[in-house]
Amino acid sequence: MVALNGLAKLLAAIGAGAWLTMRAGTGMGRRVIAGDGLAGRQLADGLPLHVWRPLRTLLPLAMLAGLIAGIGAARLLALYNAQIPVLSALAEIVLRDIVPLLVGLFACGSVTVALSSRLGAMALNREIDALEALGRDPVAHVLGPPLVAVLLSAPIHMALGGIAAIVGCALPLAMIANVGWALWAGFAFSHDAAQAMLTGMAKLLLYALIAFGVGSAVGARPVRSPADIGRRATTAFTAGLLGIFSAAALWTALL
Amino acid sequence: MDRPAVTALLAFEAVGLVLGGMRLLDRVDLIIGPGERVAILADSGSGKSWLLKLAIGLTPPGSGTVRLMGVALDATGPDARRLLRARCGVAMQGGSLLGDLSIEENMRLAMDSGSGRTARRIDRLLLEFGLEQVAAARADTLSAGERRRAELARAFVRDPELLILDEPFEGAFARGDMLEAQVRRRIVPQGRALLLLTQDMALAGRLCERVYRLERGRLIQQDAAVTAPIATS
Repeated sequence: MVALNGLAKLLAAIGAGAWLTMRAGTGMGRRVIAGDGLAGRQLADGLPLHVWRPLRTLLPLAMLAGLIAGIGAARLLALYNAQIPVLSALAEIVLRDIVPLLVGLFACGSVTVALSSRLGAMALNREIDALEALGRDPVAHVLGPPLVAVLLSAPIHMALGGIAAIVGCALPLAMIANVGWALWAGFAFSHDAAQAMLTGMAKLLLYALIAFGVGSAVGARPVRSPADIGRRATTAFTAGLLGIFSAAALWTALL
Repeated sequence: MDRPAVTALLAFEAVGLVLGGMRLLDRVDLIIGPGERVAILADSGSGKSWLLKLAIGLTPPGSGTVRLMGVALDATGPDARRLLRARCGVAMQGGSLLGDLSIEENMRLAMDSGSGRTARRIDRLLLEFGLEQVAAARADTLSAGERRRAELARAFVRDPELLILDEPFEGAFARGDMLEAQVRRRIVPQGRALLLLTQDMALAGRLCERVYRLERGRLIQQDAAVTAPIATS
């Protein structure tokens, strides 16, 4: 019975997240078509928060992840000297799995917490009620611009994070396995690596949507006190982590 | 109460509301027609703000029906309810400005178009409510009094048929009289209907023709003699 209740709650939360994400998308589309000047201003505010500011942390993280993967690959090369399979596998796994998951986890931390906290604060300050009282759809107004910013951030973060990880791999490959930049770049920027990068971008879009859906579904729940906002942010973060790891596992197993 | 509900801008028909085991409203009946000014006096925590939420369909009643502009709110969808709300001017207790928007943007939010006429209307309201200097400032950087004035100015921006004001002058100490005069000028000569929710009996007497007291969930009409001496003092 408890398991059934839990499953029903989980399905309801997934449904709420998907519904809010769809409504945010269609609502934002309607606002743009109607020439709502405020939508552009809100998007301009959302871009630094969701696209540019995370890069300061994300790029060093991606480089460090590349460094760790590169050390592993370099040790393998030092043992077996199988450059073609090891280097091509390294480029693919970095771009297809490691960077998307890393950026997805980062998005989970920033998007879920930012959204759930903002929605909670707006509800406490009666801003959601105010939008309703003014005849505005709060979902389109509050969630529309962040949705666009989050979706725009996915390919940008993936491309820049991928390059940073490749650069990170280069250092241990050169120092431990004596693989020069030209040789490594031949694998890292090959046709197969580009395909892996595109797959990574698709994965990251999915992770970003999961983070967005979780953040909005948790944030939309009623808030009674400021302390609730912190609790909701923690719930959103852990639920987002579970969602993103489940999606990553399913993608890897099925595709 | 004996007039047909269809002509009323706002009608509560046997509305009941129970929250947390407490009966806030008990079969409340109220009709506000075009141009009528009605005040409801109530102590803090007695359900005044819930009346506002019920009136514009932000929360459904436990029992009974609320009609806004003649339309039963529980029988309409969210989009239709928003269209009905857009014909009202609302000021909530404690303020409800969007903190990350400027005062001008908060007012523009209430309008459908960004035309020159809209801009002129907003400029005029900013001037009348003494907000022209802070029009570009973010709402969350303003003082409580300025926020209150902005909230009231926003309530008038759509040229509403019905105003619902919950403790409208709370926090506007220094310019309270000016603000009250401004609100009166924008309501009385223009024949707008008003639902005023307040604890201030004198204010209710000054602004409204009919005054009720909310006691134990019921509306009790106040005699003119109760409010008039205070109103003129």
